Formats: sequence, C-alpha cells, structure tokens
Amino acid sequence: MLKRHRNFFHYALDCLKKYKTRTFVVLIAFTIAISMLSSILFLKDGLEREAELSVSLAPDITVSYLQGGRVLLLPSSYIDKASEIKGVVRALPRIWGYDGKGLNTYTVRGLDLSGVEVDYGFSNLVKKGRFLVPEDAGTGSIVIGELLAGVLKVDVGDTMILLSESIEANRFTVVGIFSSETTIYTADLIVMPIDDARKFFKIPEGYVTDMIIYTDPEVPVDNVAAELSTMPNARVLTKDILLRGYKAAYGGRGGFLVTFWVILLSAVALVCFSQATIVGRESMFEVGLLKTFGFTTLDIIEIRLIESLILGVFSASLGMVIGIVYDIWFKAGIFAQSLLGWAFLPAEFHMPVYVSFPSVFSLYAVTVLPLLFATTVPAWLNAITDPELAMRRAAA
Amino acid sequence: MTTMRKINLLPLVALILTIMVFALCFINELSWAALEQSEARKTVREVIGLPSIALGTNYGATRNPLLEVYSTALYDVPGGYCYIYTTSFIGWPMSDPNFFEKVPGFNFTAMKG
Amino acid sequence: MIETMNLTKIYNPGTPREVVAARDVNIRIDDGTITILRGPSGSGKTTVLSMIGLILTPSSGRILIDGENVTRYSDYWKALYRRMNVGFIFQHINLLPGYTAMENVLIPLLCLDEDVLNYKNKALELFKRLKITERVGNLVQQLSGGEQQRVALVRALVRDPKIILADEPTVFVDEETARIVFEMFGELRDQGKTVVVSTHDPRLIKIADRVYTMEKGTVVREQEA
Repeated sequence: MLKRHRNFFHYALDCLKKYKTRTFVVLIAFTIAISMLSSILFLKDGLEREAELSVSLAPDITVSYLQGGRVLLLPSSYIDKASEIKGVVRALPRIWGYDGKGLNTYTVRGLDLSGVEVDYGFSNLVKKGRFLVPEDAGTGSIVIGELLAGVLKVDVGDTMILLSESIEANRFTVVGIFSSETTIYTADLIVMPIDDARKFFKIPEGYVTDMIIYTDPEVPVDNVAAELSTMPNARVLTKDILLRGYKAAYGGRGGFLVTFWVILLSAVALVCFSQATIVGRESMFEVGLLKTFGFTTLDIIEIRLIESLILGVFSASLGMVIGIVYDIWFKAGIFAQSLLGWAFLPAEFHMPVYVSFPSVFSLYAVTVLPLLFATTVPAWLNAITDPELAMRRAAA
Repeated sequence: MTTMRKINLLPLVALILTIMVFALCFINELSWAALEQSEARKTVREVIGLPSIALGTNYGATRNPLLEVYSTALYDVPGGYCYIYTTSFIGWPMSDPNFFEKVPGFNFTAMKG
Repeated sequence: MIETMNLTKIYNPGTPREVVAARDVNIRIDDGTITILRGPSGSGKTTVLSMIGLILTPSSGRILIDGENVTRYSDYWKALYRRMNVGFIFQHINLLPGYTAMENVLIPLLCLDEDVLNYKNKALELFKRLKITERVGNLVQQLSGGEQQRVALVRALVRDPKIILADEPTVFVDEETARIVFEMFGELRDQGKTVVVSTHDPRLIKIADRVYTMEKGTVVREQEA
C-alpha cells in the first residue's frame, strides 16, 4: 500500500511543478498573509502574557477614590477602615503619578519602605547601585529605570533635578538603576520614599493616591472587594479586573487586526480557489484521464490533498518564520504601533513576543484548511463526474 | 519518471521550516518560563506594585492610556472615555462588562463612538 | 464476455440540447476476440465504447460482464475494474501535456501499489516496436500526431490489460505504424486478450471476429467473421 501513496506523493510534486503559476501565486499570497497575521498574533499573545505575568503578582485589590466619577486623592483614614475588614491581611498606602509631558512622561512611585515586610533580596532588582532603604526617607534618593537613566544621561551617584507639576525644582540623587531584566516594568519608573513622593506631588498629609490591599488566601477576593465597595466613594479594582482591562486593550486591538488579516486570508483563499478554477479545465481533463486509468475518487483527492498540504505547510511555516523574525529582530515596526495605539514603547524596547503552540496550530489551521478546501473541492467535483464526461467538458 | 527521480526541495524545505517554527515555539516557551521565574521581575512586581508595562503615550490628553483603561476612568476631556476607547480600537464599551458594572451614570457618548 | 442490453445514452436529457448518442444497443464481445464498431461520425461508436469501458454511465440499459450486471456498480468498483482489466486508446489521443512520452506511459501506473519504474523496460520495448525510442524523453507536445498516437498505444498496453478499447487507433498514424498496430492487435487476440475497436479502417475489419455497424446511435448490422 505504501508504494501507491509514495507514487501519489511524487505525482503531487510533479503537479506543483507543472502548475507553476498557481503554485507561485498561492505560495506568495499565503506567505505574505501569514507573516502579517502571525506577527500580530505573536505580539498580541506576548502583550497578553506579559499582562498576565505582571498582574499575577500585583496586589490583590487596589482601592481609589472617586468623586463625580473622577479619580481624586484617597483619605488615609480609608486605610485604617480597610484594615479592619475580614480577609484583609495588609492595606498599604500608595503615592504615585506621572510627570513630564508627551514623549518624556515618566512614572513616579513613592514606596512605603516600612510596609515592605518581606525579605526580597533587593540585590537582583538593581543592576547598579542599591535599592532604597528606610534611611533614605527625606534624602532625595531615587532608583530609576535603565531606559530613563539613558535618556536623562544619569548614573548612580548623579544628582538630577525634576520639575514637578507645580513647576518646582526638586533635587534627587540616583542611588540605583533597575536591572535590564525588569525593563518592561521599570523603563520609565522613578522610585522614591513615600514621603518624598508626597512632597514632589504636593499631596497633603492625610491623603494618598490610592491604597493596595493584600488579602488572606482563605477568603475569596470578591468577598473582600464587596466589603470594600461599601466604603463611600471607593472604587475597588481586583487583580482580575486589571487583567481584564489589559486583555481588553491588547486582545481587542489584536482582535481587530487579526480580524482584518483573517478577512485578507479569506480573500487569498478565494484567489487560490479561482486559480484552481483557472487551471480547472486542464485539471478536469487530467482527473478524467486518471480516472479512466483506474484512479479512484479518493486517489484523486489524496493527490490534491498532498499538493495543498505541501503548499499550505510551506507557506504557513515560512510566513510564521518571517513573522517571528519581523517581531523579534525588526521590533514589529508598524504592527507594534497598531497594537499600542496612542501608547508607545521607547525604541530601545523589544515588544514581548509569545510564540505559543495554540497560536501556531491555529495559524496552520487557517492556512491549510482554506487551501485544502479551495483546491480539493474542484478536484472532488471533477472526480465524481464520469471520466468520459469530464474529459469531454474539458475539451469543449 | 525523470522528474520524479529528482529530489524535490519544496517538501524538504517545508519540513525544515516547520521544524524551525516548532523549535522557535519551544525556545520561546522556555524563555517565557524563565521570565516567569525571574526573581528580579517578581520582586519589582511585588515591591513596586505597579502592574503596568512601561508605556508612554502620544496622545496629549491622556498620560498612561493603559492605566486609564484599567480604571475605566472618565478622564480629563469631555467624553474622554469614549474617545480613548474608540480611537484606540480597544473595543466597543458595550462588550466590556466592567463598563456597566463599575462606571456609575452611563455615559451615552460612549455609544456613539 | 461483455454484453450490453438495450444500452442507451442521452446527453442533456429534457433540455433543448438533448442528444441521443446511443439507443437500445445490444452487442456481445467474447473473450479473446477482436470486435469492431464501425459507422459514420456521430453514429455513437465512441459513446458505446466508453460505456463498455465503464467510463460513461448509460442513461438506461445494462452492461453485463461475465453475466454480472455491473451498470449500477459503484464508482470505486468501476475504477478498480478499469485499473486491473482495461487499456484505453482514445480518438483524441489524450496525453497529458507538460510530461514526456515516458512519463505519460508511466502516470497511469501510479495507482498501482508498485514501483512504476518496474514498467520502464516493458515500455521501452513497446516504444522500440513502435519505432519512437528516440522520442521517449520528449515532451508530448513536441511530438507529431502519429507519434502521440503511438505513445497512447504504449500507454494502453504497458500494463498488459485483459481488455483493450481502441477508438480510431490508426487515424493519425502512417501506413507502417498502422500495420504494426494491426499486428499487435492480432497478437493480443492470440494471447487471449479482448480487443474492441471503433474504426473506419477496412484493413482492421478484415482481422475482426465480429463487426457491428452503427448508424444514428443504433446497431444496424452484425457480422461474424
């Protein structure tokens, strides 16, 4: 039995050579479409996975203060109230915000160093210098992201002046630079002791930007969140909601682009179908003749399946390799911009790329299946016709 | 058959490319697994507690669009919620259950987007 | 033995383009004989030949092979039957363009569970006998009509089929090749093969065991040799 299938395999290859134009059109069209599609898909997956990663270890609940639907400062008294709720292990104040404008926006985070109870071994957090210690409070010590350090041309030990929103000069000393490994989170980050941040943003005593809450694993987070929601003006964001937000952002954008490319891919499949029809007359004759010699309908379909599989797998694999190379080595160019929308990643950044097995399989599926359909269906229609009639129609 | 005897490169290259794709996939999975285990990243996420990818913005009316999306806030421009959502192709607000659940006072401008 | 009973073929039935290609054709083809279908163009010879070869389904009537009615057998069964038993020579030659003469001979063998190259020597013998050995590597579109017809002959015979169905096999070939074709048909009959030929050629009629004359889709005369 195997020899027969080997014969069909060789014949399918001969057909690919024989119908060079069709082979070429299909290969080029599918390779381009798949390279674009895979590039977007891998980026989207990368951003989503990065989001999942980042959220996985984030505080369980974030509480901010709303008034008239706008986010305002949270009274510190909320922290004490939250601490009393069943299931809350720790409620920590947070002061953070943005500074600068346009492309030079950076994130300032005030850290309550006394609230960090876990021994984290901060040595892996910074690539140069050291991380903040409680004694840094009021000294103007900061730890900054590697990218920001590059942009501002500062190093450990340097002093820098940052203008606040109130257009007041604040002097800071760089004591550490975040490690490259953490760049995706820390690129634009400036971390300072919480009181320094309060001073920088001119946040009055008794108020914080928001608070973060770590819950008891034994108590469902939603229960704690529901309890917190009873506090007036509190907006409660669980980790799950944050992740949904991320996914809505990247998944939505990615989905939009993927939909666009899937439509394009369908158009490509139609081109293939029409190509199959163009060569249809010759193919119809060939099928009729082969059937005359004793090829069964299944034999004919097997040959066309082999052709389509080779073409589909070739173009899908090549397209994916191009997509990966484009994402990783060429930083995804236009697609990264489309995915990020108004947001931008500094040029020094590599977009996170996730080449997942499910995505790879789905890309093979969206290439090979339409191609199988586009080429096999005409062959099948010919193959179920009387061979003599098929040849006669082809000759007509 | 004469042509049949020739080694045809197409399936061979297809096979090599497919192996390449799966190899890249595997390597990529390993590197993500390594990232997941990265102590430095874990520390920064837990200690700093800002679960945001460091993105800037080209849109003058927003500061960090992703964080704004998280918090579903009606930001600093009238109808900003609608504007941010629709101009960034994030999705229809109606498809985001969070929109209905968390934003008090439904903003009808969002529907026009 | 192949028998047909009231075999009828109507193309495009019930439409203004309806054509009755064959009507109530009753013929009998014994094993190891040469049977001729003769008649003017459009008399239905090719249609009957195609129906006998099971590559065209009749509109009505029956085809019996060794007494068994195979008319409505499955497409799959018919394909296997053709694969194992029938060699075709077409009026329009029907070679596959883009392939060489040798490839055209070997392609029909791909559906066998064998290495097709095993048949190469047999094909070369036949090519030699038909005097086109030097053309085996040429693409078929580079061959003359006569050469193409000879390639088609080799293609039909290389598998050593039990039944050979030939539609106007000498129409494009020269005198000498025609003579070789007659000789080969004679030899095939001597080997116990069944040959059915549709032809105008009176020389072939001379070597036939039975001749059916067709007109307007029906058999009008049957002659035994």
